Amino acid sequence: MSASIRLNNLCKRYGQLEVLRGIDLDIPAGQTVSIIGPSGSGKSTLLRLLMTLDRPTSGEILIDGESMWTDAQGRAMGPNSAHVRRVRGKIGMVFQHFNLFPHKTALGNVMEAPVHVAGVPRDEAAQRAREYLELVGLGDKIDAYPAQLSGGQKQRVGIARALAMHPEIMLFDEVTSALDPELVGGILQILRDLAAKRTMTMIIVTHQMSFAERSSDRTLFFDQGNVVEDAESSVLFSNPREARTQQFLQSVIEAV
Amino acid sequence: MSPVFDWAFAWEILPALGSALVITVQATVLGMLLAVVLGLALAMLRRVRLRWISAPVAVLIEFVRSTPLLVQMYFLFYVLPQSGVQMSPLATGILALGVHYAAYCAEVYRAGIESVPRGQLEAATALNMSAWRTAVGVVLPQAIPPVVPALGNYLVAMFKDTPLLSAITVVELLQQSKIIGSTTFRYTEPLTLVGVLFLLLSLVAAWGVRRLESWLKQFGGTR
Amino acid sequence: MAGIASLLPPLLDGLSMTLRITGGAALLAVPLALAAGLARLSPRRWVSWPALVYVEVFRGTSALVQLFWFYYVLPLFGLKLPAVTVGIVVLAANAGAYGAEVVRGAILAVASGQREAAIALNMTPARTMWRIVLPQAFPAMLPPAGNLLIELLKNTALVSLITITDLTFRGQMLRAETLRTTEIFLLLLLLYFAVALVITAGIRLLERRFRVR
Repeated sequence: MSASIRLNNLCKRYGQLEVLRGIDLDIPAGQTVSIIGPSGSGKSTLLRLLMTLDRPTSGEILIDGESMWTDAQGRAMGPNSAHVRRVRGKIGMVFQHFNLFPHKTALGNVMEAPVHVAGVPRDEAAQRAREYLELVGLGDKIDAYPAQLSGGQKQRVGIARALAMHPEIMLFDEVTSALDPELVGGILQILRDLAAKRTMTMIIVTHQMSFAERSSDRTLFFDQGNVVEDAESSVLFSNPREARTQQFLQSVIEAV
Repeated sequence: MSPVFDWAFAWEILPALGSALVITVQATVLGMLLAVVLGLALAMLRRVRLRWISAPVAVLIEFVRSTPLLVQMYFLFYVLPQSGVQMSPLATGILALGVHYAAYCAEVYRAGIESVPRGQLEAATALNMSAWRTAVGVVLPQAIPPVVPALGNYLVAMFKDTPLLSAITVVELLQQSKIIGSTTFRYTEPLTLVGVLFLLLSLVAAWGVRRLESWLKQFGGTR
Repeated sequence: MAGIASLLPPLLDGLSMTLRITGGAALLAVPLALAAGLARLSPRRWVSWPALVYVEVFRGTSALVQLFWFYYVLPLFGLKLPAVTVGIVVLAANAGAYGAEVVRGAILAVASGQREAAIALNMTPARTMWRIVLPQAFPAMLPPAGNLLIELLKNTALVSLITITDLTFRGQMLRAETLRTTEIFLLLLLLYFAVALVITAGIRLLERRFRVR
């Protein structure tokens, strides 16, 4: 089960600083979208808004056609209202800095939400958690605490934890940026496998250009709060239309 | 039936409380001066290489910090005259406040000193500076500014401890209100006024410390 | 030296009163600090404002003045409570106000990423606080709580001034009777110091037990 996303003139401002300027976007269910761009371009802010971590300054977010922040009668809803929680339940997120719960084991981290949010019985949740941890290659680390895990292992737990809630949309916020280079490949492979399954809509903010080019359907280039270019991944990387996109891709290649 | 709070009476006793306030402020300011100077001396003695100096000083600091100020005050008030030292109750009280809070200030200075990066000491050694020069010219100028807000908080705390002086017969705010109460049999107004005065003054002082902290931030911030 | 032994019984009697007051006030202060600290963090004004007033009033005024006010003024409002009760309640309120700031600070210090992860997993704010934030905030509360407990111990000496027969009161009486001032006050200080050391050791044990792995 995957969900579609539609953004209508989405704006986000922090005080005087405009971070997102009128984003219009249509993402069909099941698509894998990469978002690339320089720091401060608004990519992470977009993910935060999708995850309800922040509210838009103006504009609309529609998940499967349903507005995130207003109910069917058009009334504004609070972050802990039943309406917003229902929409939020369709979305999961993996963070750049993992944000694992340090006082729980890997198994505990993955089980926490199924048991306490979805009401899954403990045994079933534990079984499910074990399966997800096996899926991300951590079958032998289920009783380890985050402090005992490497960065790559922590991120795998983060992915398993998000997957365990069966989201219809998965958001990945620069999930390899905080990892040592030799651990990046492992995580990217997990992402590739997930994308291939086509069970969720995936939005991946990343600096890993070749991953974006080869493993996502569509790539968005963000700069200064706007979507500068939006194309099929293979097309955007081989034949960027906008000058700014070309500049950015050039500078990334030179950096390698 | 007399009113719960007689505003006219409260107004009448304000001047008497005012003169007691002067004593309170005196005690606080002089006590704090003693505390910051003595505290610095204690902090530096604690860092001396010779264990037979630094260890007793450390124990002394812990001892003074962990025991009640009231008992220390009684101790000085009763024991000093026996040893031939004659001091007014106010002076004794200031001494007690100063020594007690010197122990707190010593810990504050210690935190500040320990947070000066090792590289500073290494640079001073490379320049062949003496231990004294290093301390006075390199470490302390970097250690003290960040901890000034913490010292400011202790100033406010000391101010709130001045009522203890009433136990050794100093006529500060609390004692004055008890005197008024026992002569007029009205305790509500004097005690409430004293409470409000403390609250107002410590809120103002706390605000002042926060302003000081922001002002210091431009010099590299507090730790 | 034998003289010390004769001083001990009344002093130990006072010490037991001191310990009772410290313990009673501490037990009352913990829930007060938790409630007020959490209330201070509430987005609802009608919850956070009373908590703010409580914290500022009890932190901003002198403990001794508070004791006197409640001891002398409360009876005029019809509430005649035994001195020991007044002592315990006032000292608990005082410690609770400082404790509230410790609770609040420790909760705020839990990394925001933890809350975000909980939101991403669709946890309610209450669950997030109870299962994710508080367990991580708690170890950070222990060292300052230990200091507050020692402050509380020192504050119990003040109750001697509202006629409670604690260690300090007994010491004063003994001094008036025997005039052995130096010995008595040194003993007092040593006894308080000993209790403070026990408290510090106890807190260290708790810190070790609750360290986040």
